[in-house]
Amino acid sequence: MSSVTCNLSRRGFLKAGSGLVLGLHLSGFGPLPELDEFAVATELTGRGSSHPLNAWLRISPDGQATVRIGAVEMGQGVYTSLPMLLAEELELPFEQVRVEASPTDKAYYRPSPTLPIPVLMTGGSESVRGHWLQLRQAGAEARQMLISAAAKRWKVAARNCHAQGGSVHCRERRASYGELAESAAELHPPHRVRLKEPEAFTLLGSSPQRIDLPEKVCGAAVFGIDVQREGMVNATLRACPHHGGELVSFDPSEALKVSGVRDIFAIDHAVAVVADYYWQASKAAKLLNITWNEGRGKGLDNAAIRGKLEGALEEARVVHRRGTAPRDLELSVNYYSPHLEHAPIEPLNATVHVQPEQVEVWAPTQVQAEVQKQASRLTGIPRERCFVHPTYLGGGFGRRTLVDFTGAAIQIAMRVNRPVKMLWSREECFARGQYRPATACRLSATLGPDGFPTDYEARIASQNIFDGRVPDFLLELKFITATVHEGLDTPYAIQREAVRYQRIQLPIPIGWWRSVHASHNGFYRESFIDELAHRGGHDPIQYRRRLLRNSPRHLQCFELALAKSPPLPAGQHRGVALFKSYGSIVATVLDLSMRDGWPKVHRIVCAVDCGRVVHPDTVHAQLMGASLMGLSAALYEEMSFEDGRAVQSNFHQYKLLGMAEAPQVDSYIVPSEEDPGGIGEVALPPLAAALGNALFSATGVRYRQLPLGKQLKQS
Amino acid sequence: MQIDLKVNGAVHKLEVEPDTPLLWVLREQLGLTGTKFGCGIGACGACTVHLYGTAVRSCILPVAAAAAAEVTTIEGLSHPLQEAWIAEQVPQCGYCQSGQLMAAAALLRAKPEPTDQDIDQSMTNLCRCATYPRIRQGIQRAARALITAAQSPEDQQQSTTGTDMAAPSATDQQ
Repeated sequence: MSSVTCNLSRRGFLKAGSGLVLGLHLSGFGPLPELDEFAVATELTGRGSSHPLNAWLRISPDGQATVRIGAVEMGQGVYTSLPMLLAEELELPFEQVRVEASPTDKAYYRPSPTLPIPVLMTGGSESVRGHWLQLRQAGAEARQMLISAAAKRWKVAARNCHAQGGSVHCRERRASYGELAESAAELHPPHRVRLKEPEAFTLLGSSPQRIDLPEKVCGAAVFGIDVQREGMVNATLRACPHHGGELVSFDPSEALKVSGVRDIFAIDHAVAVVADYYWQASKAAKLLNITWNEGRGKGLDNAAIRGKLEGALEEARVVHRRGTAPRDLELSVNYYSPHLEHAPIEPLNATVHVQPEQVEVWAPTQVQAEVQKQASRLTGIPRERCFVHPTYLGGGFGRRTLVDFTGAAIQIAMRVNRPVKMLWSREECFARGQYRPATACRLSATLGPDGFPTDYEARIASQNIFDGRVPDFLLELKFITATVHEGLDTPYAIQREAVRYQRIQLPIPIGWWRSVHASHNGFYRESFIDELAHRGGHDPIQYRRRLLRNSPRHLQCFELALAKSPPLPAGQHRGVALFKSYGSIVATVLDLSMRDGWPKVHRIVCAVDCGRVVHPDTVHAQLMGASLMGLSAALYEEMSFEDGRAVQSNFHQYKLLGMAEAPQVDSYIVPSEEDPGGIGEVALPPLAAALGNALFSATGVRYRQLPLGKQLKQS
Repeated sequence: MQIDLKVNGAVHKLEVEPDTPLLWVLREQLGLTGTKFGCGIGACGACTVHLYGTAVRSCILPVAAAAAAEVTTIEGLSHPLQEAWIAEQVPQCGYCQSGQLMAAAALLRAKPEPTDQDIDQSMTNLCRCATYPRIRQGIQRAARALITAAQSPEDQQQSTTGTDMAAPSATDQQ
């Protein structure tokens, strides 16, 4: 029986420090700020054997095309969907495409659908949206250059030539891209190119096999933790477990006795151990005798956090309004959700080599440009001499948009005169999380005589993820506050609607967790609408249908999910929810039955309107994965704190959804000709509400706090 | 202490500290990084390898306990599951998938026609991307492939449990 061929990787690797430095003709897409800071030069592998047509693409004589991708691959499939954008316009058979991580260079910044400046990062479900025009443009330019090269060679007019199937054709003549690449690379990119009309797409909308999977089923894919460098040593650390606390003193004497240990020293509020092998470093770290203080963490526990958040609801200020101010808010209920850990299965790590003139970082990071700035800031070495190589990510979920771990690795490497791989234990990852913030929400409404809401208000209190990361005066900008209350406004036909927000401060570090604030706002809003339906004496599905009368895209998506849901079997209960985030709408229908007081989820049906689809199979995979991550969080997940110290230390205390609890997820895509929306996060926000609504149908109890499972156990 | 460690058919003479978990000897001393570290307490299964064909969690198995045993890692696995994983496009980030595949291979060895319940009970490895439904489909597809192969005469020489490849690892450490 044949098996997968493991040595035919379609992923190339940049080899830093080697190769020819070439001047590249940059694609003409948009202004790239600070361009000269980086010069238009990039280190390339494969010298003399392949020809760069622009920053993203080079083609070797055998027709193999290597596409550089600035987004990192963390399971969402960008190493397949993004080169498809380029290959579509290039008229290149997808089998000829290889990918490699782009260098951390301004040339690879992309426009952001949400930020006013180009970025080089992977998050916010932005990759397809952000590259949608850029990579198609790059492919179209290269196609035009190849056509021009052929026209020159044949002394014919370019307009008489056309590109198809990896070759340029002119009547009976034909030349492959491989044959033309060298002369095409000499040409200047065209000033203007025409992109294909979407009706002409042949590749986009199909689902070629993911490029990264063969090496992922053979154990050959290189994640951050797998990086090997000549002469490399290993390190780990123990940081102050009390958020808000500090390192007071440490005694390394027992730890130093562990064989292989090379050095032990303090960085910031952590103690780092460097050894030949990780296991030695980890053993030694456990033997460190460290004194911490609790600092601002003293007395900080779940009750204190909740008290502060709920107190802040009273102060919340209006950040969104539709119509005049809501009146006579007679119904009012409080909702709550806790801090959460991201818990990617690959623990945090980074490998760093600091030399007098340059820094190299190999890291599973979502923000390589940020890491580059960080390396420069910490070492004083100019940014263009700081080389950041993103590896595969063993899960991101937002955790690797934070640079706390890369900063620690760089600081350790500054003390070690050779490459060093720093790896955190799972316990360290839990202790020093950058958690999803806990939030309190108060929802209020007035129902008219028909049982439908005339007035609606949502108040939310939360830490602000940007707090401490941007200057204070920016914190009140609409663009920043809008992420906190995302989706607390409604697509529903309600006459008067307001959203209020109040920021609080806690010493607990927080970060962007998959779908960020939409992850709990979906639970709040869509649970509350269900409450209103029941109060008003209506069926929650019919209720939403009528309320969606002014939101046709929402309604169409909702109807698709309902149409695809089978009739509810006897003994089962259904919950529905819908939510728009990251430019896409998802409607979720969840069916469960109760067994010994615990829900057994039988099926999740979800429909998405994410505009035009590049690679349908990855869309389905993301709808499945985000729905089930949402189910995991809704049933089980919660971080607790005592004196600012995380109580949960590993997976025995922080349960994740497993195979036995994972239902089938049937997903459907609304046909659309709109521009693409996001997909990596969008199925998560409605899930908890669909679960809570189904639980209400099953038990008659309205659960207003996450995780739901905790309350079920108590009842 | 000095031990002989047999991994993927090759015997390695190694100087180890006996309490070192097998995982770290595989990853750091033998360079077999396909086996992953996830939790260090045997809870997530990312470190799953085979000891005489049975799935074990190598992050809590002292290397001394594996000395003289037959160890198989993902680099030594050659199994229809891997094709099924691609056919079903199972992995997302892929980090846990080495362990998932090793656990699934051990399951199919014990139960060539696993029921959903068998899969629920034996596939306890965590996947944060939550690829579970596709893992289930991948196992069922591989099980069908193995049964079909067992029934066709030209493939009779192939083990119906798939193979733990008895050759040394040829993994390309990029």
